Amino acid sequence: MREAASDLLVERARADDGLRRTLLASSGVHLLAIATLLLAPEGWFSLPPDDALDVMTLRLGGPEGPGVGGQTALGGRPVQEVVTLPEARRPQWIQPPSPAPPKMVLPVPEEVTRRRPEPETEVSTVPEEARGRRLTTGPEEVLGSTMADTGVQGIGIGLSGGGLGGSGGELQMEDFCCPDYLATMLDLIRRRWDRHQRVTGTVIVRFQIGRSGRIDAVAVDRGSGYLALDLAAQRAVLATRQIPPLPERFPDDSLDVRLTFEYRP
Amino acid sequence: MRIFGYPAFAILQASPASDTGDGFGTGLLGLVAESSLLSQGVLLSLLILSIVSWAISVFKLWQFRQIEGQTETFIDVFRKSGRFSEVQAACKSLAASPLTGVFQAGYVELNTQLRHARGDDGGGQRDPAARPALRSLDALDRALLRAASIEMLRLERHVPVLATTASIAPFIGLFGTVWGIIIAFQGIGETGSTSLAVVAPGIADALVATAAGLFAAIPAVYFYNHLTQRTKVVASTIDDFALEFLNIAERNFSP
Repeated sequence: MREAASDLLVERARADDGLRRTLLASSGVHLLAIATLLLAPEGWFSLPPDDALDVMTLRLGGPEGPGVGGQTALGGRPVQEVVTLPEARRPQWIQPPSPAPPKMVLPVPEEVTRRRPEPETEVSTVPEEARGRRLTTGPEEVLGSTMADTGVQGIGIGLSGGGLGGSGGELQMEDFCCPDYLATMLDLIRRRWDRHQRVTGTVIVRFQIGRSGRIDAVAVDRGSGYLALDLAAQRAVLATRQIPPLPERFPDDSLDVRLTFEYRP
Repeated sequence: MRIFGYPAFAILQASPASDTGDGFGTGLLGLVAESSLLSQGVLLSLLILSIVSWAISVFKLWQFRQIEGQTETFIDVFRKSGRFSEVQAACKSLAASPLTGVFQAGYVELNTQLRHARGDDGGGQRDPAARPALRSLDALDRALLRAASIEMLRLERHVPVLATTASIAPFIGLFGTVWGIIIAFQGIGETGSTSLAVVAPGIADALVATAAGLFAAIPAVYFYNHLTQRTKVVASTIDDFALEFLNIAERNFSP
């Protein structure tokens, strides 16, 4: 069984296309090309030999390489030989003689004669004592400027029973050193003070604080005219009885205090 | 003094035989003759590849030129003729064109079907009043398809050799180069010298192989791409003609 067009198709598929002849021709052309390459005159496929001879000549500072051979063997030859070059010819300018350089000398230290200028007018020097200074005798504690909140306002010390109070107190102490100690004392006394008396009045109580902090010699220095007020103030001081010891910076053995109690309804 | 290329030149200038003048020992032939057997084999295979690829390239160019000319003539004849038999008569002189093969396959198939339709294949009674009609348009289509396939095979024959050459020739040359460099290093090791006189000959020998590989591969790449493009154009013409033939057959011989 065969398709009608099969014979035709097979015949066309098997038809010789003539490649062999082309192969032969190609072989001939290649051989011709190789022959041309081999037999070509000089310079066709290479550099001219005369120019080429210089191509491989190496001059790396050493003596000049061979003129023939086109190649310089590097082995056994110093490639970095120092060659003295001929000195270049330069025009020599006529130059004036250069000045001699200054000698280097060590600087001689000159005597310093500068003096303070004399004042034109006589100034009398204030003595050190006049400036509030005194000679130091060693380390000592000095009162600073730091403010401590003692709960007491004004310059006086006192207790008031209302309002802002405390402005008219009296302090019978001479330059007491420690405001925080006073604040503690007032706080302790205030805790025991019954200030609600519905009467206006001022009581000054006098007492003495010993070195151990004990309160003695309590007495009403100036009464208010009301016995209740006087007693209340005195009782507050008496009830306190013991406060912290006097600070060490305080020099005396006891401290006399006149404490003002103000009653305001 | 015959010199092949600059790399070879370096050796030839250095070789002691350079003063002997023209001859076997100084040129390319001397270079090849002094090289190893493997390098000679590499160069020989590259030469063969080059010969074959150039032959195929030239042959296919000539073939395509013939094909395109005859195809143009065939289409003219086909469109001016009123009968298939007239075209068939012109086919003998246009045998190179692939359209000839497609047309002949279709014509044979068409004739066969019409003969069957007329009933004269079995020796039976012939009906003179009956209009000849195709029994199967699909069968005709298949016949055209077969013919187009055969023609495409003819067009593409030998072209893959070009692709193969383009692919492997550089590698063969590279192989020769690597081998030559191996030999050169062996020579360096034996002589214990690193001077150019020892190193250069082997390198130059190796580079000749690379140059030969490229010489074979570059034209092969070009002609492969060129011929592939022309094959596509002819294939498109074949498809177009097959559809045209099918349309005419259907129009004239459909029952």
